[in-house]
Amino acid sequence: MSRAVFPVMGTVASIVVSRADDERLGTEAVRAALSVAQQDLEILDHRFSHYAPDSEISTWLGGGAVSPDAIADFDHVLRACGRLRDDSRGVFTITNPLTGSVDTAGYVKGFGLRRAAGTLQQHGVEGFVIGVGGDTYCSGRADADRPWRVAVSDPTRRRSVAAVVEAADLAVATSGTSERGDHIWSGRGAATAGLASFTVIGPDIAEADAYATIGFAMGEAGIPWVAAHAGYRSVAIRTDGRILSDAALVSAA
Amino acid sequence: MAGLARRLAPAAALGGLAIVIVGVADPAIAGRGEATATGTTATSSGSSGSSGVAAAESPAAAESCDTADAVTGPSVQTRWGPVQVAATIANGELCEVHATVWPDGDNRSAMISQYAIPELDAMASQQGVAFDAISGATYTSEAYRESLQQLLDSL
Repeated sequence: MSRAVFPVMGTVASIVVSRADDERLGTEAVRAALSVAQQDLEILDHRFSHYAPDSEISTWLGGGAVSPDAIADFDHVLRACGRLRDDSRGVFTITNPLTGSVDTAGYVKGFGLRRAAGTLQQHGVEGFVIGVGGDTYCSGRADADRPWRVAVSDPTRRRSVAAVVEAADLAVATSGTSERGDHIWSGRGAATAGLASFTVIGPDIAEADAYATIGFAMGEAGIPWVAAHAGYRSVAIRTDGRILSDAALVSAA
Repeated sequence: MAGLARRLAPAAALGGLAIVIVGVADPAIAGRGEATATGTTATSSGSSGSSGVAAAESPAAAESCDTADAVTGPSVQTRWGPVQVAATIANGELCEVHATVWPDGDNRSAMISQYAIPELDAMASQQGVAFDAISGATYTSEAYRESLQQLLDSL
C-alpha cells in the first residue's frame, strides 16, 4: 500500500492507497497522484491561513488582489459557511468571538480533504483513506474482501478505541477536546454540553467535518440535528464515557 | 498495513446501506458501563456509501509475549519533531508498543504528545482491533503509525 504522511494545516495528513490500486496503476503513477493531492492541501493551507499576513485570505480581506482561483475558493467556502450558519441556527459561525474577525478554519480542513480526495479519484485512484488531523475520508475499499476501518478514539479513556467504523465511500470526522484543547467555539458561545467528542459519518467529508463541529457544540441535541441530513449519522461520546449513537452498533463478539 | 490489521474484528456486512440504525444498546461498545443508541428503526439513506460500527474488543493476551523480541522503528519527522516507536513482537504478533521519541519542543507539543502518544500506544497494542485510520486523535499519531508501520514492514 502506498502511503504519504506530511504536516499540513497545523496537523498531520496521511494518505493510504489500496494495494489493488498500486498494482493496477503502478506505484509511480500512485506516487504522482499523492504528490498532487498533497499540493492541493498545501495550497489551501496557505490560501486560507488567517495567521499568515501574506496568505491570500489575509491579502484579500485587507483589500488586496488575489488570483481568480483563490476568489472562487473564498466564494465557495464563505457561501458554505453561511449555509451552515443558517442550517445550525447560528451554532456554526465564521466570526471568531476572540478576535471578531472572519475565521474559516471550521470548514477549510474538510474542504481541502474533499478536493484532495477528488484529485486522487481524477488520477484513477479508487481505494484510499485520506485523513487530516483526525478527519478522514474513505474512498472505495481497502481490499476486495473488506471496507476501510476507521478507529474512533475514546476521548474519555486514554489508550482505547471506542469503536471501529467500517466505511466505503464515506467520511468519518470527529470534533472534540481530546487533543488540541478547547478549540471549538460557537455562535452561541462556548458550549460542549457534556460531550467529549462528536463523530459524524456520512458521504461528504466537508459536510461531515462541519457537522461534527456543530454537533459537538450542540451536545446531545446534535445527534437528531445531524440525522436530519440524509446519509449522515453520529457517534457522540459523553464526558462520562457513555456512547450515544444512531449509527449501526455491531458487537465484535 | 497488514501489520496493523493482523487480527480483524468481525463485523456484520452492511453493503448498500449508508448506515443502518439498529437501535441496540450494546454494553460492549463502550468496553464498560452502558451504551445507548437513539435510533429505533432500520433504514437506508440511499447513499452509495456503506458503514458499520464494530465495538472494540478487549486486548487479547498473547501467550508467547513473555519471550517477545524488542525492535525499534525508524524515526519519522513531524513539524514538531521526530517520532519513533519501539515494539515487542512474538511470532509476528504485536505484544506491546510504546513511543521512545516524540516531540517536546514547546509546551503545546509536549501536552499533545503526553496525551496522544500513550493513547495510541495502547490502541496499537489492542490486537483484537484492526483499523486503517484513526478519527479523533491524530496530532503526532500519523508519524507514530508511520514509524510502527515501517517497523512491521521490516520484519
